[in-house]
Amino acid sequence: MEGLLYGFTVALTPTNLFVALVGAFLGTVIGVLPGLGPVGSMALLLGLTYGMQPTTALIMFAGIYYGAMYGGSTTSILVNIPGEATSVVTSIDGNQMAKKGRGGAALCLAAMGSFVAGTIGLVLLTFLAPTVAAFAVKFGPPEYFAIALFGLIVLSQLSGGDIIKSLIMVVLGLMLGTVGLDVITGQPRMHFGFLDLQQGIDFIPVAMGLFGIAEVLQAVEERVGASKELIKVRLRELLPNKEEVNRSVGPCLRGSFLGFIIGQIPGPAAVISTFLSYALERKVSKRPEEFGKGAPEGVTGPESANNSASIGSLAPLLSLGIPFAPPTALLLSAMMIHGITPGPLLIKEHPDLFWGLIASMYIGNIMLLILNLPLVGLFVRILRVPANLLMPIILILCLIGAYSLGNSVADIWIMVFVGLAGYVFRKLDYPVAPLVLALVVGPMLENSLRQSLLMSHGSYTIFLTDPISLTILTISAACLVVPYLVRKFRAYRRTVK
Amino acid sequence: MTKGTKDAIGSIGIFSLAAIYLGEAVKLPLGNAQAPDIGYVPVVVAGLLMILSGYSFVRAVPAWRKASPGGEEKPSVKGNYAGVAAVTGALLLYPLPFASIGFLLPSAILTFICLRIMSYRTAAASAVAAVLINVVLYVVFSVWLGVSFPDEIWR
Repeated sequence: MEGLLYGFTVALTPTNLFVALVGAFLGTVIGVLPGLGPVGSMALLLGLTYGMQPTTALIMFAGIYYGAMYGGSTTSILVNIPGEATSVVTSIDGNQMAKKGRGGAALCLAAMGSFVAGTIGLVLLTFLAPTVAAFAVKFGPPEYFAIALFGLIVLSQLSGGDIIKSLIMVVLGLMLGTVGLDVITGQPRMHFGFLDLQQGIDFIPVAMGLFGIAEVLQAVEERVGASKELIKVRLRELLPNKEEVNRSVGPCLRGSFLGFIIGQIPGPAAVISTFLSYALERKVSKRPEEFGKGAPEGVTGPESANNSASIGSLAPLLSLGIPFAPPTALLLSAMMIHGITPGPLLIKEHPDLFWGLIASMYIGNIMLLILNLPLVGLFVRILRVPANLLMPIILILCLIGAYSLGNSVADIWIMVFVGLAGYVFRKLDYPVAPLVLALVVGPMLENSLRQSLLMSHGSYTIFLTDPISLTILTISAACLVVPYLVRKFRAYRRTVK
Repeated sequence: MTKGTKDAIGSIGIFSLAAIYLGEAVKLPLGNAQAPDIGYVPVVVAGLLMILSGYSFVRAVPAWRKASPGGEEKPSVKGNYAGVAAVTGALLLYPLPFASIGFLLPSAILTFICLRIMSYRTAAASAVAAVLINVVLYVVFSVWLGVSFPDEIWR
C-alpha cells in the first residue's frame, strides 16, 4: 500500500498527469481507426516518448496502450467496424443495440465496464506483481529459459490457424533475434556483411513494418476509399436505462476476473478473454436467445474482460521481465529504450517507475472514462477521414517512427523490408504476432539457455532436475502434444463412426 | 491461389531463408554444449526452421497437387496489385533520397504517389494534401519533438 501511495505522488505531478491524458487521448484516437490495432498504434506513437524522462515516457506509453484498447469499441458499436481484434465480439451485440437506437447506451456500458474492469485489474495487479517479483528473484537461467519457451509455445498454439505456421513464425523471430551483437560475448554475428546489422534488428521497425506498412499495402490492394455511413449519438442518449444497468453488473464483474486470469496466459489474451466472456455470459444468461440481437451483457462482459486482460498481461512483464503478448513486448522495448530492464528487481531499483506506472493507470482509467463519453462524437468523426488519405499518413508516420528510433536510415530499410515480408505473410496466412514476440524474447531465451549449459557443464538435464523448470517444461510439452492427440483422437472417432 | 499452393510457396520461401541463414551461421564458431559459442544457437535455429518448413512443404504437396486452379476457393475481387507494386517500388527507393536530401521532398513525393494510387480526389488535391501532411509532420517531429532528420536540400 505504501508503494502505491508513493506511486500516486509520482503520477499526480502536473507533467505526468498531462502526459497520461495526452497518451490516453492519442491512444483512443488511433484505437478508433480500424486496422492498426494497439500494437501498430503504440509503435507509431513510440517516437513521441523518446525525449522524455523514463517514468513520464512510460506513463504516456501506458496511456496510449489502454487508450488504444479502449478506442476500438466505439467503431465496433457504431459502425460495425472493430478497431482491433478485441472489439470483434463487442460489435455483435453492440452494433445491434446501435441499430435499435441504443448506441449511446452501448457505448456507455462499454466505457463503464472497461472502467470497472480496469480498476479491478489494477487492484489485482497491485498485489500480484510484487508477490510474483519477490518469488521470481530466486529464478535462475533454467527457470527463465523454461518460462520464455513456455510463452513462445503457448503463443504459437493460441495465435489461431495453423500451429506449424505459428511455430515457423516463432523460429523466424528467434532467427532475427540472433542478428547483431551476441548477448554473452558481445561479438557481432549474422550480419551478412552489412555494418548496419551489427547492432542488431530492433523490435520497433519490425513491429511497424509488420503491422503498419503491411496494413497500408493491404489497403492499397483492397482499394479502400471513403468511410462508412456513421450512426449519430447525442450526449443525452448516452445513459443506459435501469434494466440495461442491472443486466450488466454481473457480466462486468465476471469479465473482470476472467480477463485478469486469462491475461496471465501467453498469447493474444485480450482477444481470447472476449470470446470466453461472451460464451460464459450466454451460458449463464436467463435470456440466451437475445445474444446477437442486442443483449447488453454481450457488450459489457467482453469489454470488461478485454480491459482486465490487458492489465493482467502487465503482471508477467513487470514482475518477470517477460512479455507474453505483442503490446507488452512494445512496452518492454519502450522501457529498454529508456535504459530500464523490467524484472523482479524493477520494484527495488525503480520504485518511482513501477509504482508511478501503476498509479498512473488508476488515474488514466478515470481519464478514459471522462474522455470517452463526452468526446464520443469527436472520435466517431475521426472515422470520416477517408482511408485513402489516412493510409499515406500512417505510412509517413511509420517511416518517421523507424528513423527517429536511432536517427538511422538502416531502420527505415529494415522496416520497409519487414513490411513487405509482412504483407506476403498475410497473403500466405502466416500469423505475425509470434514472430514479433519471439524477436523480443529470443535474446533472453538464448542467454538463459547458454548460461544454463555453462552451469551444468553441457548437460541438458539441468532443465529437468530443477523442479520449477521441469514443471514449466512439462506444461509446455503438454501444450504441444495434447492438442495434437485430441485432433487425432477426434479423427479416429469419426472414422470409427 | 489455393491453400495448398500458398502453403507450398510459403514453405519453399522460408526453407530458402533458413538455408541462407544456416550458410552464415556455420561460418561462426559453434563451441559445444559445455561451452556454447556464438554460432551454437543460430545453427540450432536454422536447423529447426528447415525442419519445420520442410514438414510444412511435405504436408502441403498433396493438397497442392489435388487442387485444380481456382477450384478450392471462390474467385475473389481482383486486388490492386499494380498499386501494391508501385507503392513497394516507391518505398524501396525512399531511403536513398531521404538520406541525401532530407525528409520533406522525398516524403511529399511518396505521399503523393500513395494518394494517387489510392485514388484520392484529384491530382491537384493530392499534391496539396501531400505537401500539407509532410509540412505538419515535419514541424511536429523535427521542430517540436527534436527528431534530427538528414539535412534538407535547401540548407
